[in-house]
Amino acid sequence: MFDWVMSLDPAWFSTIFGVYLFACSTVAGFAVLIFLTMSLRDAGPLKDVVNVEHFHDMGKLLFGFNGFWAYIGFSQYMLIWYAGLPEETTFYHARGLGPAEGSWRLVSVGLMAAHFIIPFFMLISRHAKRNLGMLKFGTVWLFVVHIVDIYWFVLPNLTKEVSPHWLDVTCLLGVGGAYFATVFYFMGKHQLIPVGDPRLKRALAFEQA
Amino acid sequence: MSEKSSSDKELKKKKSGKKDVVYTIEGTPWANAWKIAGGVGGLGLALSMVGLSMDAKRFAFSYLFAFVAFLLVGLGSVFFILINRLTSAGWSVTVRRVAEFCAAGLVAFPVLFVPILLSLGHLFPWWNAAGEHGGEHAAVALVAEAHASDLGPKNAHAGGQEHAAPPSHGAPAAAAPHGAPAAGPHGAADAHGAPAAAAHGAPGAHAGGHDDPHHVAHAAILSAKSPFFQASASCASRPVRTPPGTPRTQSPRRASRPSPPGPSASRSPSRCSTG
Repeated sequence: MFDWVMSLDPAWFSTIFGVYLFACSTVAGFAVLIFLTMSLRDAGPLKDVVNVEHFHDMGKLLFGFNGFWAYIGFSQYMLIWYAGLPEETTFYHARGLGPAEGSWRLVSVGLMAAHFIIPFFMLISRHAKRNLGMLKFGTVWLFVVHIVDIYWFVLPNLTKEVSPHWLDVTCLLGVGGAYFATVFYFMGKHQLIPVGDPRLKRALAFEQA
Repeated sequence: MSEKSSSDKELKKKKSGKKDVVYTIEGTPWANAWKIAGGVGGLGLALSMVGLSMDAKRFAFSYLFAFVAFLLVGLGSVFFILINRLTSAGWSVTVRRVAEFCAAGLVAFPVLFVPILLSLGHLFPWWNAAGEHGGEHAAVALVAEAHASDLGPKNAHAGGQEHAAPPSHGAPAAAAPHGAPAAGPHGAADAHGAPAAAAHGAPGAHAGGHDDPHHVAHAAILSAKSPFFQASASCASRPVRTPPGTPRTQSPRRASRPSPPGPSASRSPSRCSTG
């Protein structure tokens, strides 16, 4: 799957790129999962079955895998920077981290801050993960940053400078709307918790040690 | 209102019949969420189609970006289900279904993939590279050309004829004047990140050429990789080559550069012997 992104530049390759996108997927997946669960809980159906303990655990996963994202992103950067092979550095040169700085540099540096440093300190404390408002803000933040991250993967292959286009927004709305329409359609067809699961009782009584 | 009462009735029926509690989104605002999302999605896709007719290339990249961004959400949910199944997790049973819905939403993506399939030519101009040299032949030719261009200026024009199309956008770190006798193997190092893209091949040979995407991509690949090929070529053929100190047909800039990112003449011998 990651080939659809990496192959945009046929001369560049990175063996860690698949892991990179996997890290992105975990962060985005957990962010959406927490946000949806929280919204469903607020709306009623999950009121009695999901409690702050569950959110605390999902918050830990989100926080942990966001660290994983930073770790993988740094691993790719560090190895490419250290080796300095022209065929590999092209990726970062196109994103403004080479000798020729461009407007992508701002996005590259911004991602380090917004995708890792800020959420890291935002969600590091136990209090923040158990404070549902804070956690919700964190998930929205990380999801937005995730979208910027993918933008940063794909669009430097087309434009040398950051050049937002209205098509970015309509495509995002189109694909996102179609995807979530499917998700919500299935959501309406089934129960929100697996009522036949033998471990359901354990989940209902769940409490952090 | 009517929905709510019907769901209440259903709930009671189920309760009395099967002693099951029903947890559905029926009767909540979420019951209509799929219609809203579908409306937004339909509107977005319709506007994107308008954009497609105006700027097909920009559409291709914007769409791929949106596609990947949301595909990863679904795949992340699959991962969440996977680790919970794998570890027989008990705590997550009540939230697992939400992840399962997100994973089920992945069925939309084969359909959403169609626009990408139709714009492969814009996204991956090299994908249909079965033209003059298809498949392996192309790769072999690439290496041979890179070597030939390093071994002497008289061979530099060999590849120029076929790959004279100027690299267009995509070549990320600026194409090097590969094959041009005056520039020497360091073109790539010098041009790193420079906004100006040099034409691959001798300027006079075939300059205007054609904008066949295969040639554009080919030229970009070749110029991006040429320093690497030249480094290995100089390792392999070191005994028969001129000693490193001897001036070669290189741009003078190259010697004055303190540390070019690519392999340089002063560096490559030590790389070969000690490496």
